[in-house]
Amino acid sequence: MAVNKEQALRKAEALESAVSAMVEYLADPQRPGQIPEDHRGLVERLMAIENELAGLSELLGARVKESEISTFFASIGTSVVAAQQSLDRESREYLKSIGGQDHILPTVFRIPKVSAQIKCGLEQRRGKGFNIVLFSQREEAVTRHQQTLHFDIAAVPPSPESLEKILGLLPRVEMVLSPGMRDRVFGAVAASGGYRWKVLWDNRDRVLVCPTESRECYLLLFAHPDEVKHVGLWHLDLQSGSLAPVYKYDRRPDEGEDLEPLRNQIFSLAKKQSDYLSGIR
Amino acid sequence: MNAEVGPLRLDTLPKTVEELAGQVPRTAVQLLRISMNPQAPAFQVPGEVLVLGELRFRWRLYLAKKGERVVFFFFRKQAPVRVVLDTDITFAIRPAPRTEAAPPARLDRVDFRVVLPPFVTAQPSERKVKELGPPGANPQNTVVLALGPGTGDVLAVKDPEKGAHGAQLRCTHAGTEVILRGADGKWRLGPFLSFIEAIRSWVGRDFEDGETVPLDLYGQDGVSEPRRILNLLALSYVRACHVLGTARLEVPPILGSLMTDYGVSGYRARILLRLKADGMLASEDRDDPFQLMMTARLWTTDGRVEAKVAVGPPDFIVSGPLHGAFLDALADGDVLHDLEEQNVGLSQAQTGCLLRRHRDKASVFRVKREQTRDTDIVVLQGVWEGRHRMLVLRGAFEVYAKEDPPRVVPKRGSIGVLFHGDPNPDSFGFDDGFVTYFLRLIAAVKDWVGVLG
Repeated sequence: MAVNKEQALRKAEALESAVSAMVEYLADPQRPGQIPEDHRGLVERLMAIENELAGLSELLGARVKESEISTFFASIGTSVVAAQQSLDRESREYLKSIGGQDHILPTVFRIPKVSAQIKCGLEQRRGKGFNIVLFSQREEAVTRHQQTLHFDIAAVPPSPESLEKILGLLPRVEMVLSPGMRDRVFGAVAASGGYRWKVLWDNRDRVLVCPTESRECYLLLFAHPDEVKHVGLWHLDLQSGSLAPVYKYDRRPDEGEDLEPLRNQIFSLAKKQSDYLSGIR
Repeated sequence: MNAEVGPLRLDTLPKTVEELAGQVPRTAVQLLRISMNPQAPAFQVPGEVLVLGELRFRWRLYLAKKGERVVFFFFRKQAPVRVVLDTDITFAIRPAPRTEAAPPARLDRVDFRVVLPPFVTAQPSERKVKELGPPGANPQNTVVLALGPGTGDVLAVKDPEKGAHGAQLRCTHAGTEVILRGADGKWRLGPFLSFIEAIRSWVGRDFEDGETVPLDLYGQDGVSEPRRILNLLALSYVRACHVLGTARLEVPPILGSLMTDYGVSGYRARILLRLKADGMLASEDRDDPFQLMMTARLWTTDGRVEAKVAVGPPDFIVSGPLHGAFLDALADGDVLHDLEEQNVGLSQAQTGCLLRRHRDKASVFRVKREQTRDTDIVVLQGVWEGRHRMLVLRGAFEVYAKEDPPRVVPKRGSIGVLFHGDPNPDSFGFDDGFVTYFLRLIAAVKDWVGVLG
């Protein structure tokens, strides 16, 4: 006997519905009587059959999409990000194309918000979360798309409070840039008479000063451009007034050690710091 | 693959709504993860993040009786038995300041208030009921209706659920008792015309608006099904608020610092109740159900959940497309011809003119509902040929209310004239069938009044 797809779908759904009713009956805690111990597996087997039948309905084409609500929105979010990335590329091309034409104002294209309304069905994994279901066949869509969901997904800057929290969570190297605090640090350096204190004093604006966790102690870094061995790291304790080397300023590197990248990095940061400090005096 | 929802026991509704609301914070985290661009070579503080701004649900439920239990399901075709209630739940989940998103202080207590129809005297004293009501009247068995300051009619109805033969009615006009029933058994026009005007005014404005009185939903013995449904709808709101207010997801601290708090807003349930005379849900047409529209709005103030409940008569229509469809159906040439043939002094031209010129003042109400056919009464009033006239028709109609535009098809030969003539309030002319609708409406309202503290 020839069975067309429509009929097969109806049969699969009728079976699924019948099995659902059986599962519900057997699993109902208010049902009089207990399921015999050796039949407990029956409910699980019926649930498996129920799932298989739902899968068959999907194969037969009634449902086109089924996903958890959070996954559904995440896929929309991913699409928004992808669309914005595409717009960013187009914006770049556009800005290039209008170069030199002063009468055209440069602009970029943004997706500030996505709003949508969908008619859908709702399903629930037995004892688990919700799924959004979209049906393809016209009749199914009419009878089952009875739930309405309206949503907005907006791209917004994080609030100042959130940014502050994030910055508090990020690993970062802090540097003392306040002139008043630096004067206090270098006053202590001079007063300490510690290891090569004059190198630090003479190059005050080019010494990187990093507070440690205790806030009363500082690590001081300095690199001189003239020779590779002139890279040093000091520890200053403001309370005791002591200045001690952590890595000696004129220590010659051991065989196989290369201080060059470190010296360049410190020197580069120190240059920017010096420019900054000159700028605020 | 997954099993469809339903039918589920109604008492699982709060958990179901809670689960749905619980998905929102998880969704928000998913969107934040996407915003953080994990593919980037180094961590960057995002300039923008994706935020779920607002999620608005309109949730359509069908309720049915399955044995002694009420069950709900999402698709009508899943109904194991006859659907007894259509229910809409609408609500939004949107970002809210932490203070507003705080969970309700108590999960088991909602402060309900009910909006009474403006013509119902709220909580009348024993003395007043005795003074205005028929013999044996007391606040438990009698409803006192003030039918409008313009008329001065006060109608006290004892045992309205017993219908036109069992109920006892007493009417006073400006403090003087008036005879309600004539020697021929017909009812006096005045009080019922006042009643029609009172209902027209009630349904013409928002019936959810008006004076409220406290509703003690918890102190009742043998709580009725509509009240149980109301309680479960309220609990659904409370659980949704609670799950959002207490959501603590295991997320990395950076995502956590970007997380938005969410709260429930605009929670409103609208339920079309089909009730038997005893206030319980009717599951069969032979129960001759009376329809009542119940709405419930819920919100939270300072951790206290408040609810406002209102009821209205959905079968009494005074305007709108369905109202127009009824009047258009009556203006059909065949119907006008049939009415002329009834020899009550109505020409086709007169009736057609009345239907055209005074349609805005027409009232239509359903007095009986069957599978595919309704029995409706249409009251038309207006001045024609220099005289104030009233025409009351009753007939069987097939009503396709969900079509756009709605369609009404009269059953040929079923349209009869209940009253035609001068609407003198002191004359008698309405029969028991006409009065029954009003008694059933009063009985339904009395059932609500009965739960007041």
